[in-house]
Amino acid sequence: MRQFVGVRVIQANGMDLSLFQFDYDMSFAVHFLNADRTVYARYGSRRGNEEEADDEMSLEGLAETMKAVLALHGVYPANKSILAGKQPKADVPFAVPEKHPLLKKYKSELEYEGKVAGSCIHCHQIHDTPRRAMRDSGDVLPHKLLTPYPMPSVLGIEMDPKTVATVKEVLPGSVAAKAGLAVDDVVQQMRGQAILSLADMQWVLHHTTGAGTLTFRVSRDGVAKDVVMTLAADWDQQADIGWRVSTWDLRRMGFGGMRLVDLSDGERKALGIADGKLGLRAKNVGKYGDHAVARKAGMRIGDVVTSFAGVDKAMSEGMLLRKVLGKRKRGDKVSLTYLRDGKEKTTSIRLQ
Amino acid sequence: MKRFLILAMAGSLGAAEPKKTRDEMVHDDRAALAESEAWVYNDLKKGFAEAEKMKKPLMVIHRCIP
Repeated sequence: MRQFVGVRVIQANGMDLSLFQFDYDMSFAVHFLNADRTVYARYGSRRGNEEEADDEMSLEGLAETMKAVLALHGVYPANKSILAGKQPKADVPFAVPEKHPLLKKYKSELEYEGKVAGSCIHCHQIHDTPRRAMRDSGDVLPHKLLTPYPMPSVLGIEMDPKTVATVKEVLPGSVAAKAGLAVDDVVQQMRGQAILSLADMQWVLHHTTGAGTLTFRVSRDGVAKDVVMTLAADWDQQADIGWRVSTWDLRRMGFGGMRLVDLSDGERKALGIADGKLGLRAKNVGKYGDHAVARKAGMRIGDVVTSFAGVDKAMSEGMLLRKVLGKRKRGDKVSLTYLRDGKEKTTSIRLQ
Repeated sequence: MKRFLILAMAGSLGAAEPKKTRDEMVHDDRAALAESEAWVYNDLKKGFAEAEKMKKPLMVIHRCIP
């Protein structure tokens, strides 16, 4: 640790968005930088509940990433070419979060003398605000706003969180398996960018759009090897967004405040929902304000949605949200069919 | 090094603490770490200046407290 200058930042107020670009749904994230503002690496990943954080982060893994950063720092700037793709994008609409019209009530610093927590801009609000602004102006949401920072698991890759970037598992039949990625491969580069963490891999995936190829440079038994993955147009459609804090506002926009969860195979069978057909249970139905739209339409916890806005194909909550908010505008009225006590009912809600 | 990392990640990997208000958590964090020799607290400008002077890389942690 003494080989670094450690800086702890606990709010997004005043955050330089031209420099700090990462998965803003994270409540813990690290940037490793040179004093000239060059980004060496990002660290901090998550895809499940807080209790499952060990699946993506560990002290051992962070320490390994720190060692790798020191190695990069030792030969900088000779290695600038493998850092180029990791640098933040220049086209940020606002220099700092509080410049966004929806966040203008916040100041650039915390108000320690008053209600300090209430004066804090949370990182997830940086995800929330452009979505809300677009919906309010009548737009559909673009895919990248709905699917930020996909995990490599969408390609069939599970990484060992105690390492810098060692492959722990490759899902049979997946994109990664077809490309020839193997367990124990050490990912050194993706699209020519140095990979020092799972978050670095997510950065590459976040900036990868549509169909094409993605080259992984791996070390296999000490020998460098290129693994070329072929991506379909919808390669990231399985990305899970259910855990994200910012998804709470998407549920307001798309589901009238409902949180929907998958049914077990047993539940589907008991309810007579055929394979390939939609079946999502309302785990929560909002009670207040704009989050109570579904409740006002008659929806209750436990109801099972079998058709929503004309979609009756089996899919996760996240996929359905993306489908609805990516195609339908604020104000559109959509119908839904649901099961309650074994009986089929219908209602409708207006999208936000 | 591990001690510093545990402090840095406090709360993110399941550290159990008695329930506090959100304001108390923010104040406690500052009280615990603002004077730490290991961390520059909420001052990026100072962090960059030190990194320049000491020829060290920066490790900037964004940690949501409340």
